[in-house]
Amino acid sequence: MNKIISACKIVFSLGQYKIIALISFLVFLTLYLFALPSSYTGGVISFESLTFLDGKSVFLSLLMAALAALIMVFIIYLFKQGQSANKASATGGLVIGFITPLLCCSPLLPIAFGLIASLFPALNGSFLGPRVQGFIATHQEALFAFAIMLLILALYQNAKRITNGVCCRASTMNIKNLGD
Amino acid sequence: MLLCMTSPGLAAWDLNLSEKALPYPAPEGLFVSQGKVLPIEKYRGHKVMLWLFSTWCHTCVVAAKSLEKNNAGLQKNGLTILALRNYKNGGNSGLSIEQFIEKFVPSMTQAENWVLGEASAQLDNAYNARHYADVYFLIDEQGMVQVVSTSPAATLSTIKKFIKGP
Repeated sequence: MNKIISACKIVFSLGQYKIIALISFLVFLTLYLFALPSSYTGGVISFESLTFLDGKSVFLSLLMAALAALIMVFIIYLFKQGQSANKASATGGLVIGFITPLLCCSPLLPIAFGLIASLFPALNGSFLGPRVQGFIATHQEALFAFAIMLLILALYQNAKRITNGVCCRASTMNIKNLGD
Repeated sequence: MLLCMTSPGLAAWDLNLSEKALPYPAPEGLFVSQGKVLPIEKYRGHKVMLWLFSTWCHTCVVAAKSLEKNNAGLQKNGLTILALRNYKNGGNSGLSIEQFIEKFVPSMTQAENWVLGEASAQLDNAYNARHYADVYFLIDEQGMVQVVSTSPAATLSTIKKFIKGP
């Protein structure tokens, strides 16, 4: 937690990152607010999805959008400093957060498994698609928690890189030269 | 996703899940209601909404609540709702149809236009071979399937349009 706070202090001491954070937050918040209610609309995303927003969806949207926006700012900062950023956990967290409500209860998975079954007739009549969908539907909260944990991990990993600063690797040749 | 968000008029809400050209004659199908095996054809001559759903699906809970809220208007316009749990609950464990209705829309146990039951394997095969978690069929008085869609809460306008007729 200290690393994240320290990294925030470093990054937000520069005004431009506050603006990037705000814009990123608004973009991610919009995406989450549209995507999360799709678990109630059969995967359909439109302006009418907003009518299905409930307290839980709004809270999750705000939390995940805030984390995603901070990660985005940290990654941009690291990139500008010429350092590499950790993107794998962030990508995982974003994908799981967006995909979970889209796949739960929508026709997407049954259609996809139907196509697979047309290639592998042995799967015909199996409940493979609905079983995967049932798993997503009954473990939705756990999947969101996992997505949030991945986002927090990504935030921490990138915060650590920011607080460690720019690392210059001394080659053995340079060290030998220093000795001479 | 962006296309959907920027196109409020997009017909996504009228998502057509029919694999045949509409309208088509409603296939025969059996279901179990209160221990009795009943055929779908029993409801020929009525406007029927055959709703096949799984009790673990979130869309279905919201749909049941939406149908309950609008049931007075649906009943007034002569719609019979056959609310059937998918065969084997779509391959997952979960509440029985009675438990589901009792938990989420208890007033519908008394609704005259609601018939609760469980789809047979034959009905599942005839209507929902893809095993959608939430799918409904709007069948007119002549026994013709006019609409195949999903998520009744999100597509309520389609159901209302159907019961009001052309």
